[in-house]
Amino acid sequence: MTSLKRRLYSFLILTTLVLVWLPKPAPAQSSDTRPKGTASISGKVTVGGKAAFGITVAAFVSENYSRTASAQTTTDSEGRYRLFGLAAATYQVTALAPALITAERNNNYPFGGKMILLGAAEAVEDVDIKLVRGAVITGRITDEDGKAVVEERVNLETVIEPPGRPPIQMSPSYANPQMYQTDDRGIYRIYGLPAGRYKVSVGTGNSGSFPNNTRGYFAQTFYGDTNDSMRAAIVELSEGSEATRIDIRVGHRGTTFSVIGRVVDSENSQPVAGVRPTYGRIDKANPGSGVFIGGSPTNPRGEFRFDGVEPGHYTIFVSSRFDDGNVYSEPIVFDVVDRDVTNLEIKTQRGLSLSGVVVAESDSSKGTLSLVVGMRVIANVSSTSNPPTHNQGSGIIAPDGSFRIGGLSPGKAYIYIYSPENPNSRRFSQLRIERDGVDQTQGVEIQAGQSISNLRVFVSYGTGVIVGTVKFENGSPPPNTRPYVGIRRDGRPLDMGIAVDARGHFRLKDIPPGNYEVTLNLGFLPPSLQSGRRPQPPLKQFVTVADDTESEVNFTVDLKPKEGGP
Amino acid sequence: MKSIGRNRVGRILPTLVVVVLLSATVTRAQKAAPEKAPAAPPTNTITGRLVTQDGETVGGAMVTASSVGIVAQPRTTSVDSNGNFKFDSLEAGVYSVSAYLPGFVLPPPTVAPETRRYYHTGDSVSLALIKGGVITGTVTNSTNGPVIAASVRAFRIKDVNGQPETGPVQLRERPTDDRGVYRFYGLAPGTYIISAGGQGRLYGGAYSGAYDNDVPTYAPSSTRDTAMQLVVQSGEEITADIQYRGEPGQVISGTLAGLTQSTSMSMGIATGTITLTDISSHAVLMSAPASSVNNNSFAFYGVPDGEYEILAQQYLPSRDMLASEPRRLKVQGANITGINLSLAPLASIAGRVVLEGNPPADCVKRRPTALPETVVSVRRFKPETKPATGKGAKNEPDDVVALAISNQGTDSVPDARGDFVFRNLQRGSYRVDSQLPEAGWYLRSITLESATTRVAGTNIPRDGINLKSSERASGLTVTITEGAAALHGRASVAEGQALPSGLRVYLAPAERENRDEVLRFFEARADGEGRFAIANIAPGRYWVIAIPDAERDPAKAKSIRRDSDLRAKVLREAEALKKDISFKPCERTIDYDLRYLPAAIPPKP
Repeated sequence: MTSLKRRLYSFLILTTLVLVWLPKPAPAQSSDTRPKGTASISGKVTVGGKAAFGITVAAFVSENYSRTASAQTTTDSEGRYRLFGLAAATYQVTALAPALITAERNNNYPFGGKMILLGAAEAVEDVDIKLVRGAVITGRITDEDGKAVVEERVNLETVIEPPGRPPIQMSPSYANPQMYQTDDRGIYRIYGLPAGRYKVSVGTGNSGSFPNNTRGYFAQTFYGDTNDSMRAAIVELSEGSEATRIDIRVGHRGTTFSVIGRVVDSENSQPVAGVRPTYGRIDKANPGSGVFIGGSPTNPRGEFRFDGVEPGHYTIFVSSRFDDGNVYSEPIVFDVVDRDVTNLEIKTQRGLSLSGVVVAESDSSKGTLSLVVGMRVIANVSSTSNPPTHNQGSGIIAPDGSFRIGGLSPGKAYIYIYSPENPNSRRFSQLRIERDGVDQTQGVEIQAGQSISNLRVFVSYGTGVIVGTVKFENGSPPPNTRPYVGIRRDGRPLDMGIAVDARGHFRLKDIPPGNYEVTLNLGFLPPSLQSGRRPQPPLKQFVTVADDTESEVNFTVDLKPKEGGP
Repeated sequence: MKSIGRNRVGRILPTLVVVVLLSATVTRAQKAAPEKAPAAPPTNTITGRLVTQDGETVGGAMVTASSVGIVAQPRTTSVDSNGNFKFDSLEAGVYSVSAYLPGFVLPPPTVAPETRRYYHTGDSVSLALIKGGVITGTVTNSTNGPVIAASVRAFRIKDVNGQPETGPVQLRERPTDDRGVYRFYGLAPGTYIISAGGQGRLYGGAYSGAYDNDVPTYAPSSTRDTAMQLVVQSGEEITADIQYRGEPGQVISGTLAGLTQSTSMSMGIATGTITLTDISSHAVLMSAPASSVNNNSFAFYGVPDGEYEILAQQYLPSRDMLASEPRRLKVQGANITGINLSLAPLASIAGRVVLEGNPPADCVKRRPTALPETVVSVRRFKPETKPATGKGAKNEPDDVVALAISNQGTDSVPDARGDFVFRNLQRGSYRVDSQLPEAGWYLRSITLESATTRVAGTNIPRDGINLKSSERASGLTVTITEGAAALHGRASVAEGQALPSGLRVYLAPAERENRDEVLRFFEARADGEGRFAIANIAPGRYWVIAIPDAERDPAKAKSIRRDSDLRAKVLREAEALKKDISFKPCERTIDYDLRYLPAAIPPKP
């Protein structure tokens, strides 16, 4: 995936999670019975350098974020494990031991463990997993009367280390949200932490907390009983240590307020029913950021209401984003201080549209169009208003390739083809977007009052495969290395890149036929490339891809320090 | 053990009951005054007070008012330092009010679960929370090491009175920490069993655990059959350690057909949820998704031997639900694969509330809000078994009902036109009832028109509605008429005698042609001093009688409208007693003295 597309996806996912209470969250597990095969992965697990007995190790198919292990075992007395009966696939090999943490920094965040591209009937050995004991922070949260503060979230932040020291990688708190909450005695206990220096706090900072906090909120209070992050006491954790009595006493519960208003049509001032205003707390200094929350649809009188809103600086707007509606609004900015905010009025404008046609690339993409029919063209629009709004629409591709996306606001539209329900949609390459022969791949500008009707979205599809390896010579790559392979054709990147696995293998599939430039991105500049004079080793290679064939590309990276260099 | 004992008592008691006949005399002339209470000022608030059962105020509590009819997000508010709360700017409607304070629970309901407590604007609500119980313990493995990040679950298998749960079992789930310690708090009083390990019922988590594929180990180190039963009392803490066994179980897998993909992008991928429910305890043990992402397949791992119900459901944006037929499975030492489930719409009943004004009667105060303040409800029931008639006896088995669907009935509020719909009903028989907007209205009739599959003239209040799978019944008409009467009074005894406890006062139709009119039966529970009140009475002539009820738990008392045996018995005894009372439209009879002489009659052979 290109970084652009990745950004769009992550935006989509974030907003979907926040805005829509899906009865079931998105990535479904692959419960289709575990793939059977004859390949295996084996290795050794150490904890603090010593062979570890009884550690559970599992392999998950990484492609579909499977939650069901394809194989699972426990280590023997010498720390050895062997996962067998595996089919050819890319796996995450992980120790299921949350009190232990990885000692290697090149783990596959956030999954942990190692990525292995496994061939059919292949026996991959020496996939070693190095762990160390995680540290623990525990304490009790009380209020001003000394009573337990129950079900309050505890925040951990790592103290930014001086340059040169690697940043601490914590496993994300959503992996175990209950661990970050106080119990009925006000006690919390967070384990599996990397060694490092931490600040512990409860309550809401400037970034805002979970919405609808009608019970009231506590101002952010740090260990050391201060509201000032700079004066927070630092908790120093060494490997496997336990910091106890990290108690915090909070002040009194602050009151939250309601935000009430109505949505009207800007043309005739009639109420607009059934649209969801989206609101979010914004940073005055950085108004584009913030977590945005969609409310319930407006009632027949166009009214909306949010309860439990903490004091702060907010924006609210209406977009078609999740309603497939056909209106948008400019953002309204307001402050919640010490009372309910009433009488907000959001004025909607009629949404604009983008339409056009999906075009299959001419050469050897026979049948591409028929595959893409029924999928969605999605447009994400960032408005140029201040603060910006985010707006999303989609349209389904008709049998003749045409599509229409309505309900959009003016701004810059990023367009891509994706249908979450159709796994095939991942197999298309979107080549470029044109309007009147002008390239618009980097975004289509929608002006106020002007719908756009003549877009051409070029797609291609193929069954070619690029396989290869990455080898390091004369040294080991830095610990943060996560090599990544991308491809370009005719000077344009295709959104089909992939990470290189723990053995240095990669495999790109569903590649349309053509001549490609394959690039290796290391995330750091090897010494051999730091000198301008020496000939550069090829981090770029060229390859021709045909349908139903495998093309091979190998990279060798020289890590030999530059002569006379630092 | 304790609870088994209680069960026995519960079974034996009814046979020992001595039915007491009460004779009533009117000692005071009926004070028949169509009273006009002072008109309450129009208000759009619900106010209330929330305290603990000890009367203490508690900080940090949240109260939620959810409207039944209006499609709107629930309103939430906080409780002030004096324990008071207030919702303002509410639309006229029907609201349920609940409270949330971590560690506390609402006490078990004191009314039959058929009658949910609702509020209208202008009402005042009083809520008392009780402190929940705690179960905590440590899960260790065979070498006494901690079992870390295992899913521990608490199932409430019996209520506070030791009665087995009838609906889906309440379940709580928490992970163990790095010492193997788990802690459940805020548990409603009742009997619990605790398990560790196994596939979590909630699959939102992004990470797998080492114990997900194991058969759960129940405290102390048991299977489900021999699990230790823990009786949790309000505010008490119980320790239950678990010696983890980590045994592998079986796999149940299959595919799901009939998923409906929404055209709305925001709904994401159409996903069905398949649940595995333990038949003996009605506990939903696991759930798994199926969608196009995984080829519409599903699997449960680590399933212990036992009998299960497997059911698929999908929620649609329209608020309709699809469900499969519940399938029963017996797992015995082997995997079960290749189960094909197929989603189909659930049944529904559409209808209309008709308000019949009676201006000369004029005892309705809030006429404009009457429709949105009316609740119509359906409740699934098991029809009394009738001898098979041969013809038509091959109906779908009514008793095979999905245990995993808690929805044994639902409440609805009509829209501005009076229309309502009950969605997502399983097949079976349903009774229709209504909670009326205020005292001036009575429920005149419930009919079902245009029922092609039914015999015309069916007595819906008596026999209910029988729904087939996926049936969309319509034409249910609930007629509510102005001019209801009311009766307030007190049951009294001769000097030196005591009122029996559990006294219930009944009105039964005295006109012969109304004997089958279920809506002309009324009842009320007398309080400790014999006071009772019956409202929303259809004008007419009634027999009146008070009979003690053996059932001590008011939530479990038999209802005269739902029990034909009780109606027959009340009618028989009331006709023998011949104490009648007549009501004109809007008549309020107060200070009615129901005098009686207890007399034992032998139980019927």
